[in-house]
Amino acid sequence: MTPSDEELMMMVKQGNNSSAFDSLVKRHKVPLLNFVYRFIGDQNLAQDLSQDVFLRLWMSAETYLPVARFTTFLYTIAKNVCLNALAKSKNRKQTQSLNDTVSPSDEVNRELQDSISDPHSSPEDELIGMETQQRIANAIGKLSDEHRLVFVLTECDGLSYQDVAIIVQCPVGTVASRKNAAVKQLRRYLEPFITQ
Amino acid sequence: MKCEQIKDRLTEFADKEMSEYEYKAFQAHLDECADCRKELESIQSVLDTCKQWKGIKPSKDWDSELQKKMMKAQRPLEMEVELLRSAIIGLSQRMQKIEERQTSLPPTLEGEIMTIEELARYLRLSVDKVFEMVDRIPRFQIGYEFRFVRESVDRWVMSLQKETEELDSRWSNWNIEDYEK
Repeated sequence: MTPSDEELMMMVKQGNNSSAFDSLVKRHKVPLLNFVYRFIGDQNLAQDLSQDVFLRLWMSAETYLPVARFTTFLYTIAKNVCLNALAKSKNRKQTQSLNDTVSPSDEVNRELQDSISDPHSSPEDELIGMETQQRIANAIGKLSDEHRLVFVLTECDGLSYQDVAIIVQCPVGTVASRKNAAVKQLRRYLEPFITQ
Repeated sequence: MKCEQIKDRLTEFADKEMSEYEYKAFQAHLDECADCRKELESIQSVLDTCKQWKGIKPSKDWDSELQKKMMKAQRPLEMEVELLRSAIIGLSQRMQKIEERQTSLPPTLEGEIMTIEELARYLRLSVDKVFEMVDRIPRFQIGYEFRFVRESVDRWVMSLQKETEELDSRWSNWNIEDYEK
């Protein structure tokens, strides 16, 4: 029988069980990476920050208590790492006063290059796909931090509203209303393109 | 239930984040209300569209980078231990040197010239005490430094001894006379 996340985490807590930690990383790194990517909107930064999340998980294993699901513990760390990074980049933006539309288009270019080298799809299909991808990324990027956090969390790694409420530290009702507000806003950005 | 109440919570319905009882009540309303159904459809299509957003894969060096970061985080503790270890070794070496110096001071030789510290050791007195009585000790001075020739010091010590003996005998004489009175 494969041990649960919580059992693995207790093994990490109890001693230097590196194989337990490795399996936790293996299980969660992709969804976690994509949570960070969706919340932050920068691929390279997401790679870096998702490593930081696991590093902090490892370092704070001693404080872990199996009172809630392991994922709430993991994503609470992820939330804190991301919010710190956002605060830092906002400070930098204020001092440098750079145009913030630069990074998303850079990213799309990179994705474009990736997709062109993919032999399985025709370039035209991919271009249309890319357009949608960019639109989704832009629409989610336009949400406020608060709304985006709730929206992205509820859409990843099987987290329930209850889990998200623990992570964001607010009542479940607030999670529901933030998600609702986020969806409303996304409809405004995305609906013109969906009804094709 | 009114349409307004329903529409406000359709996202929860789409996410199946409500009690079974509520879910059934919503379902019943939606079966009858085309307006709310349309609203749900567009919410659903937004959610579905967002799910199409392709994720990214961990970079090739993701695992090795994490390893590196973990090593780095571990290092401070190891470094601290290393620092403590070298500090302890340094201290014990210094202790040893001090001990060696104390036990292996060269014996004073005849005609030898002593510093004030050496004289203090020679006389088994503190350096302060020697300074205090320095003008009574045979000495010579070079610049601000005092030096003592061992032979002269020895002679001075002998004279001191004689003085003390005389004093003693005078004392004892005085005592006897005193008693005889």
